[in-house]
Amino acid sequence: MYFRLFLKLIFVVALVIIQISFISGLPLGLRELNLIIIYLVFFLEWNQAGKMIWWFLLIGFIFDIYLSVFFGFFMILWPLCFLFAGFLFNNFFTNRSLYSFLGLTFFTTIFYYLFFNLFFYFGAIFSPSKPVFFLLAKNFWLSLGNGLLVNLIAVFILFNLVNILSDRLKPVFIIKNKI
Amino acid sequence: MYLRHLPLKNSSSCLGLRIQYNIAMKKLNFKLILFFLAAVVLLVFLHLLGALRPVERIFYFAFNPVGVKLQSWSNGFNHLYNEKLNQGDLITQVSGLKEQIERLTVENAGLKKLEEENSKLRQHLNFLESGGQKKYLLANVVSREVFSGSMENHGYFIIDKGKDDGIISSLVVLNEQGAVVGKITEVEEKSSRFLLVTNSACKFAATLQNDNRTVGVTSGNLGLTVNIDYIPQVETVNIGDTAVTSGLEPFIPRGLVIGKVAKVEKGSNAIWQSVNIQPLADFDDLTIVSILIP
Repeated sequence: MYFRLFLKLIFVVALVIIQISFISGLPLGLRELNLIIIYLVFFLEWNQAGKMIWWFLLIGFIFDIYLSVFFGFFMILWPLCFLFAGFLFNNFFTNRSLYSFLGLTFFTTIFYYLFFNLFFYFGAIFSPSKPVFFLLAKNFWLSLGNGLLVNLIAVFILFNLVNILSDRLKPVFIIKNKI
Repeated sequence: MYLRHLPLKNSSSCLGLRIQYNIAMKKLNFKLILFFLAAVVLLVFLHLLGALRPVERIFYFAFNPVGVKLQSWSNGFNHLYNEKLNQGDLITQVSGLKEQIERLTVENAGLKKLEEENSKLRQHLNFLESGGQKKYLLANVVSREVFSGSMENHGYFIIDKGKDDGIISSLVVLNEQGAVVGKITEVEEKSSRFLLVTNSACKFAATLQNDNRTVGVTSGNLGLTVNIDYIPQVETVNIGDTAVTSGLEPFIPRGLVIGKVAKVEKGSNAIWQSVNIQPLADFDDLTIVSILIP
């Protein structure tokens, strides 16, 4: 059990480091790829939400250490993304179809961008230079569009890849037994 | 009908979802959320106090080398991607640059020519003004004919100054060092023709700067050298003596250098001796010449 925990820890930390160090240096469109959202969608275990939220706290903690934005920001953001995805998952989606995965990715990505930009907009609103409301900024829509596109493509590819390699994501059917 | 492989936690049925949701809500209760928020606040507080520094250092120490490596790979990939993306632009840029190089090469050649001309003009001015020559004309060589008709008639040049500029026949033509190049033979309104000193049809009254101040008439020899014939045997001519214009011709001042004696032909039974003079001027390099006008 501890070994599995350790492996999971290594995996999560590696994911965060890759996101911070590798993805951030990619070309403009690809750098919007969000491995954490993809991880969230693929490994969403809502029945273990109590445990999962601590993993997202850890992810947020590492983000906060590396991306000195505002310490604590990512520790709130990632668990919130997880809760949002969990809420969607339980109320609107099944958990095995490609469409569920794509839908979760789509809405979680939008949630992530909105929360991120809203936080910084309200943070900057009291500064002497009044910021432009992010929904009116062209860059916001461009990065959101890019983010949605690359995340959806990545999820689509990964879903099919996992389907080829294992039965975990194969649909379950009630089969009529021929007697 | 039977249900194949339907684990409860992965169920897509409504019942399954409801059960999951209930379990999740039980696990993610208010107490847990409060506990979670307290943990976040505590971490932020500890960070502000600096108490988390050792943990942060451990993270930096452990993952910075990996991060640096990943970032360098990522940059490499980015570079490669941009290169591919800009390949089309690069082809256009290359063709544009090629055109620019061609244009600049032509421009550079033009500038080099101008620089050369400038230097030659300066040299002309130096020697003309230091020699006290008041009237002179500078002319550009516009054409040259090395072979014209018979072999005897080697070498003439056409310059861009003529009658309208005050040029008349028989004026002496000099190079940038002030050495004699030739003599004007034909003059048009806007151009003139001069024969090289090595042309057999070009003759100058010359003096050798030897003890006897030997006087003679130069004539070209096969377009290569200059001869002075009919020098009395009694006069001593040495190799290396300088031949200059004698000033006995109209419009040609004396003392202009023609060349140096390269060979003396002195037959024991002959009445006359003749000397072969190597011209000082380099005729291959003539682009600007000066003409002394009366």
